[in-house]
Amino acid sequence: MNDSEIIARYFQRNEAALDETAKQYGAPCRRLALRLLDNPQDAEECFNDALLRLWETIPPAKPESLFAYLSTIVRNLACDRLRAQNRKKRGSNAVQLALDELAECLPAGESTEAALDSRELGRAIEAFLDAQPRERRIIFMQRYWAMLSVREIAAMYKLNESTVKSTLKRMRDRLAEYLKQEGFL
Amino acid sequence: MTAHMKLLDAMGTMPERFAAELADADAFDPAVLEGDAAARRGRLYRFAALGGLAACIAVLLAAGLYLRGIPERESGVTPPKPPAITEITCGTAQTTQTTPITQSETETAAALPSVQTETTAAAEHMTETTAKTTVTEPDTQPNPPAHTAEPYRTQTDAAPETVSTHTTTASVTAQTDTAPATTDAGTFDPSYPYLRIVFTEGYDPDPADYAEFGSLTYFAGHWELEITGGSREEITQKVQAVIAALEERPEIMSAKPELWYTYH
Repeated sequence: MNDSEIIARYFQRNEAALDETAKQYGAPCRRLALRLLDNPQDAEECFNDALLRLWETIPPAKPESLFAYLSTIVRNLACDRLRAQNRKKRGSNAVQLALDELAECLPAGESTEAALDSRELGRAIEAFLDAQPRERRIIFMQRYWAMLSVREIAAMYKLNESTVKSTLKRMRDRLAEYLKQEGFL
Repeated sequence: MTAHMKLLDAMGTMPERFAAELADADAFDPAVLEGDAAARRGRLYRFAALGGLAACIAVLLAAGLYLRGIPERESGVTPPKPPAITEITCGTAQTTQTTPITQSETETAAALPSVQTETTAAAEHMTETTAKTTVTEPDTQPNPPAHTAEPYRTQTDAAPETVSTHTTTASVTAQTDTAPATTDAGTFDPSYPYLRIVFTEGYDPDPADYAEFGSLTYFAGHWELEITGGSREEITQKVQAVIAALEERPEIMSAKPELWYTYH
């Protein structure tokens, strides 16, 4: 069953749409939540919350990519759950490592950090990624959005780990340069 | 809010189209990134190749300069002989004076034989010239003091000091080896004998009176009678005869005649 058929069932308010969604995209979305929350139970709850959010938003929403729509919900819910948790815990080591890498592109210091709005930063990153070749953008998103490890990315796309690392490094450097041009740094 | 959470939130605002690209793994073309990497490697290899080429050129240049410098260094091992050495080989007296000062012991040792040889040759040449001069000297010298043995002076001036000294030494040695002329004239080689006669002051000998024995010439305060002609026995007889004749007239001599000879 493709995305259009599943979405059609959502519009029909057919609960089979939830089963089909879980069957089609449950595994990658649970992994995404697990990488962020580093807890299988939290990840499962996060995924269930995402399915509920999906049921509530479709209709009227009619996403072109059901996976993109669902994974975005899962990720946002996981981030909300992270934020709601004790601030001492910033997520799993994998997430910590990925965010440490990405933080190289951002200015250091509390004042600058406070002045930096996450939405503005998000739009700047989006514009930057929009200008990148598709393959590089996918690598970047897999690493810093889906929080996959370098090894997982290399295995998924049949690349050398060194290629993935060098690609990410160059993109971070270019992003930092771009943010500097845009006045974020 | 920490930077990490802001980053997390910021990445959460990425549009769904970016997330949609993650779902389609088959649409991913690894060759794009591998190509990027290959291009980077290519640039790196080209840079490395250029660097290697430059290094090779530098090495070749250095080797060329080194090889080019070898002859100069080799020539430097044997330094060119200074002018003094060149003069040494010519056997001049001036060289003999400068040799101990400017040359090392080895070089001096190597140079000395040539000097010796040259000197000896010069001495022999001088002696030969002396004989010739004596023979061709006119017998009718008008005035002995005016005559003053010009050939000898000329030879002395032309020859180096060492030559003169050597010659004198040889003559003395010959005289020492030779028994007194008056008693044992036949014990030496009489090839070129001559008598050194010191006449009494005021006595003016006539060379014609001695022509039957040889040529009489004046030199450096004394007269020299070179016995010439004939075989060895005849020369010996002439020597004995002239000595006997001179001894018959002791009043004309202020000293006993001395027999000298030269080697050839």
